[in-house]
Amino acid sequence: MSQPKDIIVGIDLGTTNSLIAWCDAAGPQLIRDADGEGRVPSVLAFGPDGRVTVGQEAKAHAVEQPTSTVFSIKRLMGRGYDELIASGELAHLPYRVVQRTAGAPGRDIAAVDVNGRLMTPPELSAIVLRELKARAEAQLGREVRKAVITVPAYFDDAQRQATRDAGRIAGLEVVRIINEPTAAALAYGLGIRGRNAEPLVAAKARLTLANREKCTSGAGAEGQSDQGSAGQGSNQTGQPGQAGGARIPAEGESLIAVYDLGGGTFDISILRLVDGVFEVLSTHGNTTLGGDDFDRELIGLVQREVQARFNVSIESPATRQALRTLAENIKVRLSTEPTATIEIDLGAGRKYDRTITREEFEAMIAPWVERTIQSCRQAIRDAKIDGAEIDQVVMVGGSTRIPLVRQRVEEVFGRHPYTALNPDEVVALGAAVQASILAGQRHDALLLDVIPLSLGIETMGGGMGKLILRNTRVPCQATERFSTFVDGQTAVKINVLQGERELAKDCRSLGEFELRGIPPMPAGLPKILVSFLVDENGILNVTAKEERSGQEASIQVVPAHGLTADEVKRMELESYAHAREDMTAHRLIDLRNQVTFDTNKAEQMLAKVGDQLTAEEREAIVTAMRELRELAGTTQDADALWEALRAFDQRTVRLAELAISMTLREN
Amino acid sequence: MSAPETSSPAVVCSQCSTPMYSPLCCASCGALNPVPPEGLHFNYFELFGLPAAYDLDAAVLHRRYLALSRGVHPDIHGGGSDDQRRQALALSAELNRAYETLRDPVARAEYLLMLAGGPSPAEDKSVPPRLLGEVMTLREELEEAEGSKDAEAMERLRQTIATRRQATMDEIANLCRSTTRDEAIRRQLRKQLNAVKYWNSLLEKAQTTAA
Repeated sequence: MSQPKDIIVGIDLGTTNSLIAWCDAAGPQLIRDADGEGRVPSVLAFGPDGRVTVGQEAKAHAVEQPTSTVFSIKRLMGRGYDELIASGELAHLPYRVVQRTAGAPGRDIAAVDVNGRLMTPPELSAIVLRELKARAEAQLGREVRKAVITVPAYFDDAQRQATRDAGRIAGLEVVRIINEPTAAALAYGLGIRGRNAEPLVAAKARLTLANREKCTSGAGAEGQSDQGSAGQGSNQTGQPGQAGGARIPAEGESLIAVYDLGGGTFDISILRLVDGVFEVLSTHGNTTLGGDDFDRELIGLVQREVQARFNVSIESPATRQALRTLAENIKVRLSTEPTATIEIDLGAGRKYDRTITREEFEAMIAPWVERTIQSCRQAIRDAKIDGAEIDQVVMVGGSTRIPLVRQRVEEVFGRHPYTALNPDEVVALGAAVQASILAGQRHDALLLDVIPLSLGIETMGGGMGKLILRNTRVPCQATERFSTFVDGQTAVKINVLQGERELAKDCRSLGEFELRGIPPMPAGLPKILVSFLVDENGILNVTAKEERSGQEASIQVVPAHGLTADEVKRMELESYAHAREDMTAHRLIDLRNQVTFDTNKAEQMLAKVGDQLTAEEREAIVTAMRELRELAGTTQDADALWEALRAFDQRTVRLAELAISMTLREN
Repeated sequence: MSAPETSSPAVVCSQCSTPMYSPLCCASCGALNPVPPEGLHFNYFELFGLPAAYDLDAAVLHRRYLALSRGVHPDIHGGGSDDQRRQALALSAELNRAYETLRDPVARAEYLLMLAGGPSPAEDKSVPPRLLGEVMTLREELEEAEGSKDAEAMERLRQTIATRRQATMDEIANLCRSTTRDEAIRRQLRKQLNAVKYWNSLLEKAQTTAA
């Protein structure tokens, strides 16, 4: 039972925390630190020297360095700057988010301004991923190159692509993107052994590799049951009464709802579990609703009250960061206690002292929780089942610890939610299980998932023409014929949309797909068959063929809110090494630019006011300038270059003063 | 339910020469059926080894769908060559489409009508007489009930709409069971299939406003 050459890890890339897990014969397990903690805060702190820290250490720096501490990156993934402005998202972030202007016009891509350097959300997420990768490598003692990464089920194509791009930039081959609720269901493994709720994880531990079985064809399965069922779960669970290959009938089937409320995203998925197949019937959610929003309610309350009572505005980035930590603590405390007290010393004898009751907190977050309940109802309708048929309700995500959330979920499904596994860890464990399936280590389980949002194209007059409806099983494919409007036209542009609304402008544009290489023909004559294939990851692939000539038309994709393949490749190359080295490389580039700028400026100043210095002074500056330029051209040591640059700046202080006074006199 | 419900298959696996019960993949050796360059054109009923009829056993269809998924899903072929993975993707998409088509009674009837020679929805957009008037009246009543937040009236309307939709579905089932050689019957089926779209969207509206 040798280990496969390439290990595949499972990663939960979360809004608040990220986790990494792997699977061996004993089942999935998390990579934990010395204190047994598996969660790595998805927080990055960029130091003034270009150093980046990730996780707990970064989180600790948030208050000191509010504008260079980046968190909740997931809420920015795959989204445009204009979109984020319109949704009000940016008002809550102490760090600076800007429009990324590089690349083709018409694209709307957000980037974070980190000490003057623009970084896209996938690049930032890649730093978190690299940290996780390094931790896993250190612990497993081997290189990690492949990963299954989870995303919210309700993530659209652009958000999924951004996640995959992040993986690539981090030097990981993302072998599969899976949905978080589905991963959680896989970790729980309900239904495999009826309803005794024994996790698949433990029950299946002994079964790896033992049941290597060929594929069974559907129509033949019943006919050849004695050989066909070995790969189908019933025998594997070792129930003696089920011998003889008869597959577990309907009573082995169960319906489960996974309610996943994390730091920044919400999903509800309804699955049917039968014989190890995890079949998603429907999914709904909100990719910008989570525990963050509850924190923001608390922050807003404190800000308003402090303003009213002391006429003090606590809006600065640093206080906002401090308030965030405070709000998080209050929220957590209110899950177990009826009240929590906030104390803020505002100086000059002013003290804000406030007790918040659980009822008060619940009233604040009730509208958000209600939105999740609406989603649950929609998912039940879309699954075409009766809510009462659901056998288990599984709770995932840290925010499901809130009593109000549990209570409302219990009400809507009419049953007590199930919380046997740690809601923070279950997604990563499920991802590791899926990784072991993909690695060929186990053949007992299979995930059949759906596309969360309808896919279509913009029609004449700005309508949304749906080609693939939401909750369609993936992989799935739709084809559509296009033609030309003008004689000799060789290219056609298609605006691909995702969403449920009737008008193109109300849906998300995934980008312009330009078909090129159409043989010149009279208008309307070419018949271009465009195929929209959504793969098992929920990611769209578009291909086209001109039917008359049989020629494959090439497709140029300009993602509306994402990175092009070239950009991802470049970012991957740029960040080939570890985050620290990566930042060092960037720091070197930035320092070299600074050297060029400062030395050129010194040269200009010398020409202008150099005659006011002694020959000795002039000579010293010229020498220093030459030495600094030389060092910048050769050294790889950023710290040394920084020191040299500072020394040079010191040396030219008098020159700069002279130049400034000259300029002042001139004006 | 231990034997396949179709006669013995004529196709054999190109890899191991075992008879294939489904044209997607071989039950014996696991080989995927090669995807021809012109694309896949399976008969969906044959794909599941089911007779081409409106009435089918949903449990059997579902079981076969799951078993076939175990054969063709890309995750099963994750360790295969690029070519194998591409094939698995195409076959899996086709399997899902076939399943979604046969599982849903309206799509199934639509598919049977297509196999029988149409007309397609684009060729014939006509609906049964009085349908539009009825739909419009119900829609207005629904909006009124919604406006006055009359939950009882909304529930009553939802039930009326569900009943009318069911009647249309019954009619569709009956027509599908009749001989499809008769063009007049196919035209009637077309009208009812066009009608059910109106009922579906009205029912959806009634359900969302009720919730």
